[in-house]
Amino acid sequence: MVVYSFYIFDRHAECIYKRKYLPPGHKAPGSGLPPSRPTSSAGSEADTGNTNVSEARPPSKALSAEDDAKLIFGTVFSLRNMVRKLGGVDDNFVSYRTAHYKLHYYETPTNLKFVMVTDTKMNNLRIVLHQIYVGLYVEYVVKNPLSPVEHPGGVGVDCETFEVGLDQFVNSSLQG
Amino acid sequence: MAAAKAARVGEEVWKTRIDKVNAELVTLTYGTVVAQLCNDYDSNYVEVNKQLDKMGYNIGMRLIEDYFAKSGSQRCANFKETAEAISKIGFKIFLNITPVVSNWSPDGKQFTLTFEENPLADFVELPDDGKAQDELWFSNILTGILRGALEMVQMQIEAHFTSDVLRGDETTEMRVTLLRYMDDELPPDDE
Amino acid sequence: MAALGGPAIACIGIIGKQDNPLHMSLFPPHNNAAGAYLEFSFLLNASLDIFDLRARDKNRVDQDLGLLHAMDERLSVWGWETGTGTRFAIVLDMYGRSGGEGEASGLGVKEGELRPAFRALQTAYIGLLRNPFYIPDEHTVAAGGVQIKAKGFIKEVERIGMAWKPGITTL
Repeated sequence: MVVYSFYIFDRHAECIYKRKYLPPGHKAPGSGLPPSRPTSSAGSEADTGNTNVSEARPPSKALSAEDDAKLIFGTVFSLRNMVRKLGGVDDNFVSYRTAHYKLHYYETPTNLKFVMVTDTKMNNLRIVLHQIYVGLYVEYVVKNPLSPVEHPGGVGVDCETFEVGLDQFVNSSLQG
Repeated sequence: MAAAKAARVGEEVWKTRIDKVNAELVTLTYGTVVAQLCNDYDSNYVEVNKQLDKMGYNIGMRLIEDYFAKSGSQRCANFKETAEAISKIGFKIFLNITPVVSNWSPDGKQFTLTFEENPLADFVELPDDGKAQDELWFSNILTGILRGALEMVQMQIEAHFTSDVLRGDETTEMRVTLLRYMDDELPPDDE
Repeated sequence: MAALGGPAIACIGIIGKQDNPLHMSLFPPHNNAAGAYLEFSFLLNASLDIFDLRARDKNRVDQDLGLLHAMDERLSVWGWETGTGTRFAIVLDMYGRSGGEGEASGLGVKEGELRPAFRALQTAYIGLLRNPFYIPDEHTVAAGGVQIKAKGFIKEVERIGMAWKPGITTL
């Protein structure tokens, strides 16, 4: 099972963290992005033991990292609103799947949106995303007094402990 | 109903998921901050109140995440539920007190929190300079915390103290007013 | 009110570690007596050397310094020193509140009987220090040696002075 990417959006619809996980030895065209801070491009070391996924990597490789995030936000935002219209304000979608990937979604009561894109065989990750929120985001980002609460202008979460924790968490519990 | 459930959640979280810290340390730390502010602003207590509120606002925006992470509760359905959650979960897990919610306005948008105890103000005697008693709201950080926390769940509120035992009042009370629910924000260049 | 004739507290003094007076409360019948304030100030002042002597005693295990000195058959000074060198002194009046119409009670006060009063004083003093608006440095000699003005503390000292009587265990 493979994780392709992970995003956090804040209540201002700003992408405050994004992370791409690349299969080993695979240099996607999109990975030559300018290293803007929210993007911590994972090296091949982030991901071991995946060999069968070098084709069909969503989303579209031609997009820049910013466009990527915008597209994802647009998608989950519209989906969420649609779901609420149909199922009431308490309803929320959990994931959707295409032929190539599966997108998992978790929204906190404070409107933080956690999105993870994985391969289609992945089980439901709602709980995992909740764990990332409770165990990593709140502990390392929110409770770090030096990390800003708001991230205006695309200044992302820049917190090493969070990134290290996230890497470990993803590698140990999801990949492989 | 909501009140009983909130009380249960608050009690449970307080017992199992909260790291405790020495109360004196908290009281002293907060007291020192206020005293220092009074000093720095030359006893301009109106300004001190403002600064405390601002600090609280910044705390509240963070604290709300911890609140949800620890309590696992969902958003409140209405403002009445919010009030109960503030008192019986929020104040319970962060200060181990449960201020009484009362005095609802007819439109259900205003209520009063009555603090029977206030760990922040233990042992405090306001300076005897003739105006602290009338101008300083010693625990004003709490109003900011509520404002910051509720803003993160898309409620714009106004909160202020209406009385304080430190000033010689009978009770310590805070009035909270719901101004409006805020809408989801869209990306600025979303079309 | 203490029983007529029983020993009672006549004066409570709080003294800083630089021998600077922090606070002094007088109790009936001395609180209205002419010149009493000065008289008791002298009395406390005179006890400072004994405080020093006792405090230097290496065998001392307790903050309670016991009886420091007895002025006459009526007044005696008792002391307590906290770990930080703040001193509490209590002056006992063997004639009690009556002002001594002749009869001293004859009852001695035993070592340790004043402990509850000292402990209560110490608690009150800690409470005072916990008030963020109380600044200990304001009371040093260098800063002019202002006395304690906190109303809550003074009231508590007065309560302790009035409430103590021989044999009492908690204040």
